Amino acid sequence: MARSPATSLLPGITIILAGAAIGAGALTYPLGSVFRPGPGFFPLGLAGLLMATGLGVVIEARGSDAAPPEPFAWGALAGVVLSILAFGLTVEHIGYIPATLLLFAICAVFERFRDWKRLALTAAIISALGTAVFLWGLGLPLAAFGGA
Amino acid sequence: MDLLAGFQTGLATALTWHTLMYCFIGVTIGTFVGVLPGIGALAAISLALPLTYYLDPTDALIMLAGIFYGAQYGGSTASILLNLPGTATAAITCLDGYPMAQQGKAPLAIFVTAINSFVGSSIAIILVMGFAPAIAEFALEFGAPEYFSVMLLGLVAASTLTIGSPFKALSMVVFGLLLGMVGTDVNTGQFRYTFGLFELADGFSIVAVAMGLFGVAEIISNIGQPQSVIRDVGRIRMADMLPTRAEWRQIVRPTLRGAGIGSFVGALPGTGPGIASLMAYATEKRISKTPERFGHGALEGISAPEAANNASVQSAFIPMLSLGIPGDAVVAVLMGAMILHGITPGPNLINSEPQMFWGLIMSFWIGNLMLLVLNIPLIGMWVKLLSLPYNLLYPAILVFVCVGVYSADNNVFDIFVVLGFGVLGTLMRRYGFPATPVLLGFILGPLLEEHFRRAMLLSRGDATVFFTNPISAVFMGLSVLFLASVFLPGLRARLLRQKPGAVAED
Repeated sequence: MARSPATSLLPGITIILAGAAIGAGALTYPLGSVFRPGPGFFPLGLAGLLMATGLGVVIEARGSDAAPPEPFAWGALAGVVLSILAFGLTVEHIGYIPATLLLFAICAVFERFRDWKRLALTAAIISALGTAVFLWGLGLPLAAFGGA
Repeated sequence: MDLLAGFQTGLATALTWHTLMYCFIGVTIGTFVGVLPGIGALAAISLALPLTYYLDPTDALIMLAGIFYGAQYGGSTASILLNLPGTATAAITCLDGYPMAQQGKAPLAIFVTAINSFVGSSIAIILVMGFAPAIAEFALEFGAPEYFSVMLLGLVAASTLTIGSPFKALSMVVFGLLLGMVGTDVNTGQFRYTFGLFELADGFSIVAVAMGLFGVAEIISNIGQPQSVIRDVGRIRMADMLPTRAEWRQIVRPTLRGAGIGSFVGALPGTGPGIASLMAYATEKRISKTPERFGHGALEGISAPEAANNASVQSAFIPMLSLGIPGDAVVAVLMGAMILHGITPGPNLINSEPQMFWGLIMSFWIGNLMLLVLNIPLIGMWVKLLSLPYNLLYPAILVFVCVGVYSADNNVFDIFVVLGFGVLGTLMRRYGFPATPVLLGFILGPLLEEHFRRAMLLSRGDATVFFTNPISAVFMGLSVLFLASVFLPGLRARLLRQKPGAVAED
């Protein structure tokens, strides 16, 4: 599989752009002077360094024939992202146990070979264990069910 | 404090019942995650970190360190029995360990690795006891320029000594340093890169950054992998374990050489147990009179790397405990744990927290002894664990990740931070950017800036102070040397010739 040159340069270019953006951010803070460097001084220098190393990455990528990465497991990424997102958004409103079940359910939807029975069993164990350890043991301000 | 008094303080601390208990919990969790492929010591330590808020700092550190070295034991067991490196660092053990298992010598191989691991660790622990206080005493004289340049050296060495692109590693160090800038500037109270988010006023939480970059990213990359086939490993009998006299003689020298290489490599910043075991293996193969036996079940081929990786894990504590400079990602998280408990590692640590320093070191020994005793009878149980399917395991780990970061600050914001760094870490893995330098930079960023600003203030804006101060000049010179090696590919190739193949991040 041949990769277009643009794709192989993308990581380095991203770093250069990130460096530029961070540098622009640093300019909004007081720079101070070399006698008394202000809060913007160090980040500005680092941003410059980041752009320089990004340039190095670009140059290196141009010269090499890197093997293309194996096909990406988009399903895995999407499943993990959505399940964590759902847990974070809901746990304070619907409680620890429903949020845990929701996380398991979303993971299962993205899984090719799902075994609902064993998943349900695992989810139940984790719900019980987590309630005992985190809610009762460590006293986290979360409810097992419902808002805190 | 002299060595003997330190010994006593350490034993008194490490032998209390609660410390023994946490040490035991640590090494057990460590063995557990070491055996399981797809979750490493770093992910486990990040997961356990929030739980330690409720512990005494010494107990917390002892438990977390136990996870670190326990994982090295567990990793080798899975390598030998199933040709599955439980941790990236145990990959070398597969080369000769698995052929031994195929020849029916698995019990012997497991016994030998356990003994080697213990000997390797013990030698390195003695070195930690000798060197860490000496280096710390030397470093007590350090002012701001020396600190700045020794930290710089640590970061530069960590990113240029890794296998893979040095530019990628360097860019990740700088990125990590910048991540450390987020939050309130300590000198002026200026908010930097907080984007108006109140939650970022104290910066990113180290737990969230580490769990995202290592834990979540590791889970995402593992989900797509094909499931391993678990083979029947047969019965492990005690009688088959003991080496014969000839076999003892065969492993003594490789073990000592491996321990030496591991101790040295581990104390350098940026070179973890992976490189240590690889170098030990390469050395044994080169000096062996019968190199053709390697890869077909040579005893030397497991004893040297196992001694080396365990030694390197222990000696990695030297720069952290004496200078406050973590050499690899796991030690960086441990250092983060100390900072969270209000203890800043540095040359003063040994004097101000003697029971913590010596207690930790003595607990290394006790922990290694526990592992030696624990590892052998429990092999059957560890092997059963490997049959847990990953698709049941990972949602459970995700729940613990979420609740773990939440418990750090009782704030859901950190769950989203973990998510962000998890996605970032996944992309970095895909394009070959190492995550360890990010974490090192993140931990050292605020310290580096503080010492830089103090040095500039004291020298009245004269940046040459870093080169005119003699100790600082040596560190700066070494940093320049490491950087120069990046631009002289011939030199680099010669340095790295002994380390073929890629060693994955742990």
